[in-house]
Amino acid sequence: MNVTMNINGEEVSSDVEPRTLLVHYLRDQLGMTGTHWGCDTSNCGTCVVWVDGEPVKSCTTLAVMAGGHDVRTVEGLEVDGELDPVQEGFIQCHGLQCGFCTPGMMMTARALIDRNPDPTDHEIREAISGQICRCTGYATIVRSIQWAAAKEREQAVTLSPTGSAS
Amino acid sequence: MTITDDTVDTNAVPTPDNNLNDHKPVGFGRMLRKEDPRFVRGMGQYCDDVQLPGMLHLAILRSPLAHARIVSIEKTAAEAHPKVVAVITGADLAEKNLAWMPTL
Repeated sequence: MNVTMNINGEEVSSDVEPRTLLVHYLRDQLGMTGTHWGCDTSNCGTCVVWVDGEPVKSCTTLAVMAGGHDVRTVEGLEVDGELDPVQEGFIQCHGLQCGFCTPGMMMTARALIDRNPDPTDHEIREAISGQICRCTGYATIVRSIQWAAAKEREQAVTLSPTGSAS
Repeated sequence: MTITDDTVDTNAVPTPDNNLNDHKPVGFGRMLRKEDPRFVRGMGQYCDDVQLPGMLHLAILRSPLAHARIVSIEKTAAEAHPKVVAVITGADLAEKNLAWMPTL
């Protein structure tokens, strides 16, 4: 059946089998392999994408369920060639080693910072509790997300409407 | 060249304004990884990401029983499917002297 959705700002229309999972639609039919397929049991969270601004596990979403909705993937974090502060943070604080869990982690981190610009370590750990990382031990991931949140708070101050720059 | 502990604080955490990663590596020095910009863009080429023209997909059928003896394997229906290239069982591997591999 036909499904149409907005992916990273672009309308995409395809023919899919009704049983096709969103993760497989993105990876195999559209070639967007940034979203990963890790566990097949909804545990690992490396498949996390946004549907209408909410992080969801795309391995537990049918492609047709996303029809008519906005989907955002890790490929859509970068804007006009500029890395998102979350992406920068993961580079600066070594939030990745093998990088397999990273796309899902960053999509969740991005959603967290959008809702909570100054998260505590505990709030970060709770936000990423749906994702598993085998490499880092999570400490550097938490640091990366703190780095990104701090970077954005800094930028918000610099661009404050009162005109004060610091 | 002497490397002393007071040149680099290995416990320091990078923040957006402390430029911790800008120091040239000395001893424990800090560096950024060359592969990270690719990975954070979702451009890591993991095995499952590779798509070659004409490539086949492998699906493994595992035993539904924890402890049992295989009496027979019925594969004619699967082989008859137009999209199936081959159905490989232990018997096929034994013919090629590969049945000794426990992981297969």
